[in-house]
Amino acid sequence: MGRIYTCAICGVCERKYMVPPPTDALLAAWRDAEFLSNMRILNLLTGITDESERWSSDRSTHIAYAKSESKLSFIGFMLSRFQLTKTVPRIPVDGLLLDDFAQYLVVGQPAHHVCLEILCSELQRAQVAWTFTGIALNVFTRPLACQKTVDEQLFAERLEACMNNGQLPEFAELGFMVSCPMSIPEPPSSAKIVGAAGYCALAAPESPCHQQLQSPLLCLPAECQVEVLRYVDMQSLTALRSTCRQAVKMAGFWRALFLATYEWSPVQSTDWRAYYKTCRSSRNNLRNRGRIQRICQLAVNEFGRWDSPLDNESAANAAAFLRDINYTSP
Amino acid sequence: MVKLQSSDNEEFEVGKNVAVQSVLIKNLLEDLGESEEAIPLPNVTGKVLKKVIEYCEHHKDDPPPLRDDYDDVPKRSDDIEPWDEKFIKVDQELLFEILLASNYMDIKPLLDLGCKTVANMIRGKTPDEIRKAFNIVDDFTPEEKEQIRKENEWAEDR
Repeated sequence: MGRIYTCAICGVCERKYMVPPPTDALLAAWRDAEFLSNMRILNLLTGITDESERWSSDRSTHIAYAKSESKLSFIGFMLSRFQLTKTVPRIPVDGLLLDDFAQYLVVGQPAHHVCLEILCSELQRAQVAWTFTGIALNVFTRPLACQKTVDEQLFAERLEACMNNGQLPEFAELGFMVSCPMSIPEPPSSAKIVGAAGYCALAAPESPCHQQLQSPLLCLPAECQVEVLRYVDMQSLTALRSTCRQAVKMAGFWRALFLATYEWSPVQSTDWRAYYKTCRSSRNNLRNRGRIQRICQLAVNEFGRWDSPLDNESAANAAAFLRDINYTSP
Repeated sequence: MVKLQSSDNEEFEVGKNVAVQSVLIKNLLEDLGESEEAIPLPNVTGKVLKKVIEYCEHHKDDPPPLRDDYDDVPKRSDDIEPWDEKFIKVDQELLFEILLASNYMDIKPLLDLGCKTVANMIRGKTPDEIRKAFNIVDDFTPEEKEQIRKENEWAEDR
């Protein structure tokens, strides 16, 4: 039996459907500064790293540090295999997000692929600016939250205490670390805009396992897979999912499945029933679940009797989410 | 006129308005200027390039494709025009080669056509039929199949 992981997004512990632990090769790559040299990733406290900054990592803890003169530089994604999710924001939000600039979402914890997909979809759909403030605190904030700041001192104290004690920080407490659009970075030289969908999960490259190499569909380049799946309806996607293990690893699979369940249109006409069912069946719970429950309570009366308790934090987050992005009932 | 050279050294001479439907070629022409030399396309065989040119010839007067401003829209695949439908009725190997070529040459309408056709091949099929159509090996254990069946129940009761 494999190790049990806790999804950083939904909080569910299980063995399956999670980003697996880092392989030795991946760990070795992480320790290699060259691997990170072309990336500029959010530093929780200082924002996007400069090109001049270089990464170093602590071999014993696999924690990477970005050098910075003024503030504590820290990034905590090295405990587990991380995922970079690249998006191309299409709609500027208060001038903070611009087209043609790649943004990176860094998830430092094991997470369900589907949770990540849903989170990204939600951010895109709601046009929520990807703020490390909002996401790090695991709340969905209104776009203007970009202008808020985290309590840097508190974070710094907590992190320094952890580091001084030789203990690994509780990354789960930090939640997500997301590229900060407070200043617009130049895309890294290695950036590659993938597909019209502008989305690509850059987990460690995975090629179809040997026995699937004969399948032209599974061997399509990621950007083509994304494009093909966007034309596939929900029932066919679920059928495709049942064909082999590799199917769900196709680029954009979960995103396509998620999007296929409701008809995209302005938020007011979202099919909440399908949305709810998708999220529920996609092992989405705790924080997301609270949010979705709250949405459904307001938007779809028939789902108001979902019997799982909603904790105070989730309720507050859900209410804030609803209020901030101005959802209305269909 | 623009000369294109396939990976197997076959040369094709096409009108500029045909060639520039490929964003790759359009950018090359803009960056390097027009030349008597053939533009090498090392990822496209002559057989496939011939088909690609046939498509571009037919669509040379079409307006440029619109940008996808809202990419999160699930797309329709049942709106293929009759000529396109006939054009893309090829064996599966060639279909995927055309798809890859259109991706490489950045011909969005042709890429869309290829993707729609592949999506239509998936549509309405059972897992077994999809496996057969795309040469996929069933590598699930019975327990995994049961788990997926349970997880897919939600889609069945819509």
